[in-house]
This record gives sequence, structure tokens and C-alpha cells, in this order.
Amino acid sequence: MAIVVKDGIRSAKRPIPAPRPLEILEDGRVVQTFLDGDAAAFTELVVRYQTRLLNFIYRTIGDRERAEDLVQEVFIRVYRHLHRFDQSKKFSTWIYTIASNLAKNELRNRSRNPLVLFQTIRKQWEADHRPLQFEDSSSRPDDLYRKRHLKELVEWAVAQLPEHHRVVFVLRELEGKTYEEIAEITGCNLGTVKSRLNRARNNFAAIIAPRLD
Amino acid sequence: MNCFAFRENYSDYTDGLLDEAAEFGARQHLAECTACRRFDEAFRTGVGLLREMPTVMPSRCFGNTLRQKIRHEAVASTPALRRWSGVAGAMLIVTVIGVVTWERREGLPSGAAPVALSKRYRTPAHTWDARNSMVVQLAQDTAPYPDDPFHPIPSATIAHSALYASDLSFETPAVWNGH
Repeated sequence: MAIVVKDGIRSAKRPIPAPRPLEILEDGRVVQTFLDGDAAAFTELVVRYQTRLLNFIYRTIGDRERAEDLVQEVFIRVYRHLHRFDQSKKFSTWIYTIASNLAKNELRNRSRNPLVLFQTIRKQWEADHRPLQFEDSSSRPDDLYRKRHLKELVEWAVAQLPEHHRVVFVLRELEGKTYEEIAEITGCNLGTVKSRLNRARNNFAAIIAPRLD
Repeated sequence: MNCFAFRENYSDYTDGLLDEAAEFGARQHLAECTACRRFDEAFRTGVGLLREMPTVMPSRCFGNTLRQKIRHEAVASTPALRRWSGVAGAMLIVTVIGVVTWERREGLPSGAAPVALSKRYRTPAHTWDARNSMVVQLAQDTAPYPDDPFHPIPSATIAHSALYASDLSFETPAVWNGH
């Protein structure tokens, strides 16, 4: 303990601890650091979640560019409303809730807007007709073709799921969320989550099973 | 367990949430039923392929674009600015409500134009106020709205120095809006 002499008065003062690097703090502490005025903490949150959210939204809406726009929107909303975040809850659940709502809105807008639907179809057509990339030189071209075909098939199968089944399916199968977390993110009760997930899994298997042979 | 029951419980089976007896029944059904085995294999292959998909990375400009948007957001939502805009909004609402209420009580049509009263009235009733100015009030029958009880009789305060001793008439302000 350091003894500090100030204005002739001896007082005991604890030495100021060195600031902990943001990378090792858990989400809740990073949020509090940002609310305490450290702008770098927000950058840390962006670094932690940008890729996860991009993949989640991309797998849900199937459009990479739009997914990136929506991830930016997620972070803007987080920035705007972080002071309202209930810190007794998990930050990851909160940010996924925002992302999930934006993804659902996007899917709804698409279903109402034929132009957006056409653009999505055109992007998929362009992807289908791009040349094969031989990223794995050890595989034979026909194996590569089959693998690419299968990946496109499963992506397409996910896109065939109804919107509310798809969100639950992606959160469970790709993001590894628990039933409770999915319930909180989607604002549904546990029973609804279980029922939607079962239907989504059944639909997914039923769509790809005949095409896998 | 039959095919229907197997698929009804498929999610729980996949996540290992079935009790021991149900789990045994599901496994037994899978061993016997080709269709459900194909179904299960298709699901596991499909999910495996999905998980193998390369991770999509944010574009190079992602960080810069976000930083610009956040900076814009920070300026637009400066706490002080936000706080004062709330106060200003509240004051505006209170003012509007006050004006509308006052107009209703005074009987003026909302947004009434000021009434021109540039007219010379004779022998008004008058009193003297504390500053030795003459407070004059028109007689009821000479008021601009003699039949309207909701319109107050106009009055005016005239400085003593502006009065002509020989002439007790006065001129109301050129524009009187009810105050």
C-alpha cells in the first residue's frame, strides 16, 4: 500500500491497478467498460460478434451483401440502446435477438417485394454458373463438383424452410444455442421452440433425402 | 415405436433428450425401418455439410463503414442534445395545449386574427392605476362585440402624459387581439 503525502496530510492510498485488457473480459464487463466511457470497448464487442452475426444472418436470409448491411444495423442499434441493456441478462442473447428481428423483417420485406426476390434469384443463378474453384488439389474434379452440389443443396434446403422455422433451425444447428436461449432470442416459449425445431428438422431431412442419392 | 412417433420425437432423439425407454424404442425402430434410417442419415449429412461451410468473413470496408455510421450516430444522439430536445418538445406541447385551452376559454376561434379597433370612443369609464396612468374601459354597448358575453370589453392603459385634459375620449390600440 502506498503512502501519499498530500497537503501535509499522510493518507493511505491503494495503487491504481493496471487496466485489464478488454480481450480477456467477459461480455458483461466489456459492456460496462463502454458505458463507463471507454470507446475501445465497443470496438471489442464488434470484433467479438461481427463474424458470428454475419454468418447467422447470412444463413437466415441467404444474401451476403444484405447480411453485412444488417450486421451494421445491429451494431448501430446496440450503440444506440446499450444503456438500456439489462446487465443481469446475457449480452449474446440480446444481440442475437436484435439480429434475429432484423433478419425476420428482411425476410418479410422480401416476400412482399418482387424486385428483391428477383435479385436474389439472379445472384443464385450467377453462383450456379461460376467456374469450379479447385481449392483442394488432392480431390478429383467430379468429387469437387459433387461436394459443391451438395453444399448448394443444403443451403437451398435451409432456404425452403418457413421463416420462423429457419431462424430456430439456424440458431440450433449452426450457432449451437440452447433451447432456452432460442426461446429468449425469438420471444417464444420453450414448447414452441421445440415444436418449431422438430418441424424444421423434419422438413430439412425430407427436402434433401431424395436428392442425396 | 412407429414411423410417425419416431418423427414426432426426432428432435428430442437427435438432442439426446428422450428418456431411456423412448431412446431404446427409437434406436430399435431405426434398425428396422429403412425409410426412417434414410431420413436420419439425410438429416445428419445435411447438417454436417452446413457446418462444414466456410465461415463468411466481413468485407474489408466493414469496419470503416461501421465506424462512419457510429460517428454519425454519436453526433446525432449526443446525450445533452437528446436531453434538451426532450425538454424543448415537452415545452412546445405544454405551450400549444395552453394556447388552445386559453382560446377556448376566451371564446376565440382557434387562430383568430387580431381585431382592428382603430376607433375613437367617447366618455369611457376610467380609473387610475398605481403608476398614475389612466385605465380606460369602453361601455358595454360600445364594445366591438356587444352581444358576445365571452368577449371581454377592451381596455387600455394610457400614460398620464399622453392624455389631453379637455378630451376624455381615447383611441384603442390599432390592433387589439383580446389581451
